[in-house]
Amino acid sequence: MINVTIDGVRVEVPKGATILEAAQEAGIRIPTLCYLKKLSPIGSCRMCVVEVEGCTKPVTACDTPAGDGMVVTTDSEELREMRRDVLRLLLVRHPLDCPVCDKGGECDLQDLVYEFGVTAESYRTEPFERDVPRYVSPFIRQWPDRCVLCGRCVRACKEVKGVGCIQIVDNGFYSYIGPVPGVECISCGECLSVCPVGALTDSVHPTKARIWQAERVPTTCGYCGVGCQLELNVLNGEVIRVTTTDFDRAPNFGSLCVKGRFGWEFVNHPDRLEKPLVRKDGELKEATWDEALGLVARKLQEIKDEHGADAVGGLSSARCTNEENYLFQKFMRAVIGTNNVDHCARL
Amino acid sequence: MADRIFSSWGGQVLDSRQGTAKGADDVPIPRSLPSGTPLLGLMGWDGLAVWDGRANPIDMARAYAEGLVRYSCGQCVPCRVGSKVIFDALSRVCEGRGEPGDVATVERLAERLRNQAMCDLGRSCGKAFSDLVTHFRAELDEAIGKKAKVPRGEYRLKVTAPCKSACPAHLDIPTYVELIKKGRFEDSLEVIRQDNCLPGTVGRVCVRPCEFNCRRQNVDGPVQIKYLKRFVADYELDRNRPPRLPKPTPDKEKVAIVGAGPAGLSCAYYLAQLGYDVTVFEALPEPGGMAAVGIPDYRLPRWILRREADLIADLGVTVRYNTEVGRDVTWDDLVKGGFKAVFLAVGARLGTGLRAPGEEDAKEGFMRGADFLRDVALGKPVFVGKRLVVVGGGNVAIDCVRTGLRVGYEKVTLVYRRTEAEMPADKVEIADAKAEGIEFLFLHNPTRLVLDESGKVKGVELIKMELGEPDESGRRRPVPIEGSEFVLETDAVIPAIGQAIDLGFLPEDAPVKADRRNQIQVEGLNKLAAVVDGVGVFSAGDCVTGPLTLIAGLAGGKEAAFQIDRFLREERTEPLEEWVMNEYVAQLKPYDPAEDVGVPATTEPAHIHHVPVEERIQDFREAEIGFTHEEAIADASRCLRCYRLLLVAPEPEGRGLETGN
Repeated sequence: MINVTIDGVRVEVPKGATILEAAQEAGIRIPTLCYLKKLSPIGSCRMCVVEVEGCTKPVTACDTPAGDGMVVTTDSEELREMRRDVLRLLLVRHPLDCPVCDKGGECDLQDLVYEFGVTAESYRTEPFERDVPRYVSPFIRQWPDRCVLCGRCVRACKEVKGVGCIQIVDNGFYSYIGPVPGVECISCGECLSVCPVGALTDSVHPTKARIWQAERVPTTCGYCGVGCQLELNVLNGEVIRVTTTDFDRAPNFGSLCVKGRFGWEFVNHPDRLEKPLVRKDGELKEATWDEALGLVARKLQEIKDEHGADAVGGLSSARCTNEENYLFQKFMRAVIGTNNVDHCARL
Repeated sequence: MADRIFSSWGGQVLDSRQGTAKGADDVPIPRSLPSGTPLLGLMGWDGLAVWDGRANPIDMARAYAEGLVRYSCGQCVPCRVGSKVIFDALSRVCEGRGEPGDVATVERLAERLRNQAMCDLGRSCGKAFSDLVTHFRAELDEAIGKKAKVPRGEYRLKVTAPCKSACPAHLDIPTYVELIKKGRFEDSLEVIRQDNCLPGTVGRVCVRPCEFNCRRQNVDGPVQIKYLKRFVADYELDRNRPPRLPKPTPDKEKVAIVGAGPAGLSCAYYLAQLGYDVTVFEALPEPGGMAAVGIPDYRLPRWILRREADLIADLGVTVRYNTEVGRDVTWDDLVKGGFKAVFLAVGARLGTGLRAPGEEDAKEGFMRGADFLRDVALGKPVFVGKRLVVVGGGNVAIDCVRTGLRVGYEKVTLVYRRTEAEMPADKVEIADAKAEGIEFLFLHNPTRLVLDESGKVKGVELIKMELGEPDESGRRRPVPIEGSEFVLETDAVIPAIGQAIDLGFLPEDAPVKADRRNQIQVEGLNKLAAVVDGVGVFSAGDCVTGPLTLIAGLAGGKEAAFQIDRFLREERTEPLEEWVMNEYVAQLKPYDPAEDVGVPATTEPAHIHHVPVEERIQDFREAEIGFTHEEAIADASRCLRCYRLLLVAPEPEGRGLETGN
């Protein structure tokens, strides 16, 4: 363990912890943009600059390991002005289309610009035109002009998903996020979930809503047994998208697969069964749960009485949770009385 | 009186524009490029200099900013956007459209670059813009006020880095290290292969001048560049990934290469990629030259070298092993056999003697270092007794003692005439040898061999030495202490104090010239030794420079390849612009060991792992174990990415690079 003093607060952190982590330990917030806890820090946005006693130049808190006895200052007029300049430079290219941006209201850049009071475009470049090849997926829309090139999406794609289908293409002012030739996107949307601005948006559902209009309902993904946590964004009783905002929450820490993130349209589909159906006179008709379950129980009992318990078999689903699967086999063994139970993911 | 009108280079301002020179002592900057072209002005990581009024600092800064826009990686905001804002502001000024706020914008963003940019490309470029505004504010204001156009000059730009400049082969180290940091290991190897055809080999045994010029050592130890290179080479091998190399068709002229050592292989590698039909003649049964038979397998497993040589052969190169020029193939076969160019890369394969009485008469127990290592490497029998004395202080001496231990000597002593501090051998190698139980006898020098009647070595007479005044190499000269001689008993003595060049294959009348040390004389960077009936004879590597390093051999072979290409295409030789600029950059000394880098010393270099001593000295298994992924990424993350941009304004008749739009 090492001792670090952040803005006069002394904290003890493990060796190897960054200055940013030490500051978090001390309860001190350092503004960040490219940093994301679950990704490797790269120190590219330069928002998290801090002063370290004995060092002639500011250093980035997110990727500089703290040292024993280090004394750090996280806030000064000079540091604030450096941070403001980062934002001013980002606004040189970032369009102020916040009113029509899906991310408006939950945009890190918007929040920082607001916090630091950067009101005008202090710097400018000559007008230029460029036609950037977009990286295209049926579910993800890219807005290259809004991109702040923080590289979160590139890192998430590689580090979290192990795919690595996007990279920073070209260099300098003209660089952009583009596809890696030969590596296919799996449309998992990891990039989308980590983008701090509206450079990557969800293009599944046509309904738009400001972030504060939709209700976020935390739930568990039903596609498989992992139990990924997600939030259904619900507007007027209809799901309009899936988000993940809590990157600390097990088991998925904000990650989802393509089905979990984008495969929710069935929820609103008119053909979706919402009530049990029971066949009456050769036709499926809506019934109550009590009616349907009572029928199933009665039929099972009849089969068991007539042919024995082993005449019944149960097949369970990988889309059920572990607990549900446990209960199912318990039901088969203890209630029906047979070992004829299997699961679609057994093989 | 200085030769410059203005200079802010090297932290000293010298300003003689008003007829009087301000400032202190002159900081010397070479006025001309190594090709002879004089410079009008220069702008770079340490400021700017103007020798001639035709060089306009405002336009130089505009072109310099354009270079920064071009080479900025685009990761950090101050450099990615700031460079473009600066460039656009300076362009406006130069085009007579300058606005009152432009100077303040440049000044402010230059400061941001210097203090806030992520890597040293932006940081070092910032100084030039700051210096411009500080010292040429009146000129900037005047250009803006009068809406006057600034005349546009012609410039050459060069991107370098202290590590890159120090490397004889100028590998793009910051780029490949950064790709490792990003986990893009194969991309990293692809970058390495642009300048180095033996990454796994060099990644094991390079003397790593890059690391001795790494700015991270000013903070907390150099980036482990050599081992990082080994890591990506091993990554490809371990996973059996197909190497990303081109498949050229040899449809151009035939070129002969003598020697499949580092220089020969490197030359073949580039010539084949350029489409030449290359044949390599090698006396040994296998590739690598001294890298194969001079470097023991515990440092460089032979199969690594063989595989990398095979990849070069796969480019369409014919390698004829066991073919000694002068014996199996004649000189005339080369210069009159249909080859349009011949590249001599015969190295320095002969061991040198002790230059002490007794060595001529020794029948058993006396071996020259290079011969000993070669015989062991080729599996030939060598004399093995109980005690061995190796004389010398270089890497070959260390290779001999550690090899001696592995072939069965029980007690091995290294005798060196100076102290450990002056030993030219790699410090890591010295430590490894000590760990293996080698005894070091410093400040001793052999005076004669002690033999028995049959000519067997019984011992070696040593004289004690002390250090006197420094010699031309800067090391203190060892001086014998009169009367301090004594005999050290030993069964064998190996001198490892140098290697000699064997030019026996050249006929008397060959027009190739050599000096008294048999070093082949070539035209500087051109590598041209002679032209025989239109056939260009080139040479590089140890046979030109005397025994140097593997990486220097690779660099020599590469430079020769491009010269041969130019010779065959244009029928002329002239140093390539890239090398001229490399030489010039080296003269400017991009690495400053005294610099305060300003980064907290909170990391440490990754440590390589070793096979335990008791296991590794049993045989020739590789002694070091490469980095894990995590170690490689952590160490690569320590790189400060010290790119530097240099702009020079050559005399207009010089072949300048147009950098305007």
